[in-house]
Amino acid sequence: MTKPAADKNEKVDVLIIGAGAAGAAFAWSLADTRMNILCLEQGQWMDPASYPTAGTDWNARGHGDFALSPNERKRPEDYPVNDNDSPISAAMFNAVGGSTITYAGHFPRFHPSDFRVRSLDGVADDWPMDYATLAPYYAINERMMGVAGLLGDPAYPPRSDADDNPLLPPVPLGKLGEVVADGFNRLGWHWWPSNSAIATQEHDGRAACINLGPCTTGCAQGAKASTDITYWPAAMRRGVRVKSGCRVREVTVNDAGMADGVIYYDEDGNECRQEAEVVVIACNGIGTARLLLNSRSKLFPDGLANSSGLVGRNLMLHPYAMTQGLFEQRMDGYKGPTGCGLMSHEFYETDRRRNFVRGYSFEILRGVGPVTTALWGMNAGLVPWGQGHHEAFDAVFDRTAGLLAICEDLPELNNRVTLDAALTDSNGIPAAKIDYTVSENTRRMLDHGVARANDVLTAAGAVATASEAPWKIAGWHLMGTARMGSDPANSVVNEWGRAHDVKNLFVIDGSIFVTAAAVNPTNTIQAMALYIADQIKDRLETLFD
Amino acid sequence: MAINDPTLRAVLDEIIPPAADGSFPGAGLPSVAERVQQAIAEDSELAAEFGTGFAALAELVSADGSETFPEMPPTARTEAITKLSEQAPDFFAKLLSCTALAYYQEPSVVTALGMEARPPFPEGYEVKPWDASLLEPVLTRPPFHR
Repeated sequence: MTKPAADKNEKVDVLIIGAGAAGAAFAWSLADTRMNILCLEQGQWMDPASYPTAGTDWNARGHGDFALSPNERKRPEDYPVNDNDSPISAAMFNAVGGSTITYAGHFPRFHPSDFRVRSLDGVADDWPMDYATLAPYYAINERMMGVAGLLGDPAYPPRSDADDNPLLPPVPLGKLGEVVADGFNRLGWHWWPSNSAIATQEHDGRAACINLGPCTTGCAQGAKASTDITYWPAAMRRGVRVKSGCRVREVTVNDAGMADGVIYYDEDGNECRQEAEVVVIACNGIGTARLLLNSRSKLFPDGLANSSGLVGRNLMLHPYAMTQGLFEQRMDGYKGPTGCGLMSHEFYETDRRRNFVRGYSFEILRGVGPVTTALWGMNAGLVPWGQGHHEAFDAVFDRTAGLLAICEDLPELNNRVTLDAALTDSNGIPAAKIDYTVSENTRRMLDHGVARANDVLTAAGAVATASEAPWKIAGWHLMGTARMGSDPANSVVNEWGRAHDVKNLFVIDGSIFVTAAAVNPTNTIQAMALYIADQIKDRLETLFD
Repeated sequence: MAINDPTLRAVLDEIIPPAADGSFPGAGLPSVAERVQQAIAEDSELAAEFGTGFAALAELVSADGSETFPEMPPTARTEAITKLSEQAPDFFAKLLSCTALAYYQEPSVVTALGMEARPPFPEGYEVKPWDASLLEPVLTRPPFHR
C-alpha cells in the first residue's frame, strides 16, 4: 500500500530523480530560485574511507563490490540490466554522485563539429544548439568540478574563458604516458594531456591527487571530482534536499496529463508517494528510459513522454577498441590515474579517405594491478596455471600500456532499451534490457582504431599487441534514449529538455543527446543540465505554456 | 560449503605452485586458502559450483586409486587437475579466478612483485612531473578542429 514519505510527504516544487552527474549540477543551479527542491536517489552516500584503495584488497574489490557491471556488483541499491543481446555490457554506479563515483574522470568537451553532424557529414541529426551556446556552461561546470589540463590544444577552439577559468596543472603522464607520447610523436600524430576532473593541487577543499591508481573504484583521497563532494555540498547549503535509498518506480500523471509526482520505495521497502510541481529525470541513458517505460498510465499506455515511440531507442554506447601493448620494460603503470594521462584526436573528425564517417579519440589506459593482470592473463591464455605461471606472469605484469579508441556510434532505432519480460530489481520493478548491434560504420571505425593503436604502441616500443573490439566491459557512456529536438514526432524532449508530451517533465541526462561525439560525455552532460536549469529559470512565468 | 582444507590448499598449489627459485610462495598458503573459503562462504552460487567441482575431483582421485588429492604423487595431481579443467571448464575458470583474486593480494606475493605491500591510500605514489618538451611537436601544429 502506498503511504506518505516519512517527512510528511510535503509537496515539493521540483523533484529530481537521480543524484549523479546531471542531477547534482541541475540542482545546484536551480537552487538560485529558492524553490523547494528535493532529489531522490536509490543509492547511498558513499564513505571514502570504504573505497578499495584504503585496503590491501584494493585490486580484488575492483572485481567484486566495485565491479563495473551492476550485474556482477549486485549491491542492494543496484538494478540489473539484461545485456545478453549486446556485445557491450552496461556499466553504471548507484550512489549520491552516481557514476561519477566510479568514472575515470576524463573530462573533455565535445568539439563544435559534434553538434552539426548532419550539416557537416550528412549523417544523423544536428543538435538544436551549438558549441558556442554550451561553452559558458562548460566553463561553469569545469570551475565547479575542478579540471586539470592544458590550454592550447589545436584540436579545440580557443577558450574565451581561459583567463577567468584557469585549469589545474595536468595529471602527470608517468613513465607509461611518456613512452606512449613518444610513440605518437614518432608518427607525427596529435596528442595532448588529458582534461581530467582531478584536483592535481588542492582545490575548493579537495586534497591533491596522490596517484592512488584505480580511480574507477572511488577516490579515497577525494581528489577526483565526484558530485557528492563537488556540487551536492554546495547545492545543499542552498537548501536542496537529497533523500538517499529511495528507488523511484514510476512518474505519475493527473487527469490533465501533467506529472504530479512519483511512487518510490524507501530503503525499508515501503512504497511511498512524493508529489511535485515539476519532475526532472536524471537517471542515465538506461535508467531514464526504463523509468519512462515503467510509467504507464491510461493517458500514456506506451510509457510516459513516448508519443514519438523514441523512448529507449537510439541507444549509443561509444564502442571502445582496447589495444594493449606489451613492453620489455616495467612501466610503473599502477601509479597514477587509471584513465587520465593523454588523449589523441588525430582521427576525430571525418576524413572521407577513410571508409567510415565521423571518428574516434584515443586515451591511454595505465597499467593494472596484479590481480587484474592475473585474471586478464589467465583468461587470455598468456599466463598458464601450473608450471611456468610465474615466468609468464612476470613477462606481462606492469609491462603493458593500453590505448583506447572511443568510437562515435551513430543513433540507430534498433539499438534500444526496453523492459525485460521477467527480470526485476529487488523491489520487483521491471528491469531494463538492452539490444545493441555494432553498425558497419562503427565496425570499420573499430578496426581502424585497432590498426592505428597498433601503430602507436609499436612505434613506442611494444614488442606485441593484443586487442578487444568492441571492449565488452566498457558500456559506461549511456546516451540517446530520450533525444532532444524541435519536432515532437522525432524527439522526446524539446530544445531545452522539456518533454514534448508532458509540460512539467524534464530529462537532463545523457539520454537527451542527439549524437554521441567521440569523447567521454560527463562534462557535456553536466553542461547541458546547467543549460536546461538556466532555460527553466528564464521561463518561470511561462514554464508550462 | 567449506571445502576440505588440505585438499583445497593442494589444489591451489597446483594452480599457482611455489616458484622453483623460492621467490614466490605457492597459492596453497593458509591465508590464500582462507580467502578462497571466505569467497565461497559469501556466494551461494559459487559454493554450489565449488561443491560440484570438488566432487568431480574426488571421483578423479578415486579413479586413480588414491584416498585423497594431497596424497597423490605430484604428477598424478597435475594430471587430475588437467582432467578436471577439461571435464568442468566453467568451474575451472572460476577456480582460476578465485585463486588469482586471493593469491595476488597476499602481502608476501605483492612484495615479491616489487610493490609495497600496503594500501595505495593514504600514502599514495610518487609520479615524477612530465617532460613538457615532449609536446613541442604538437605545439607547432595548426588548429584542426571543425
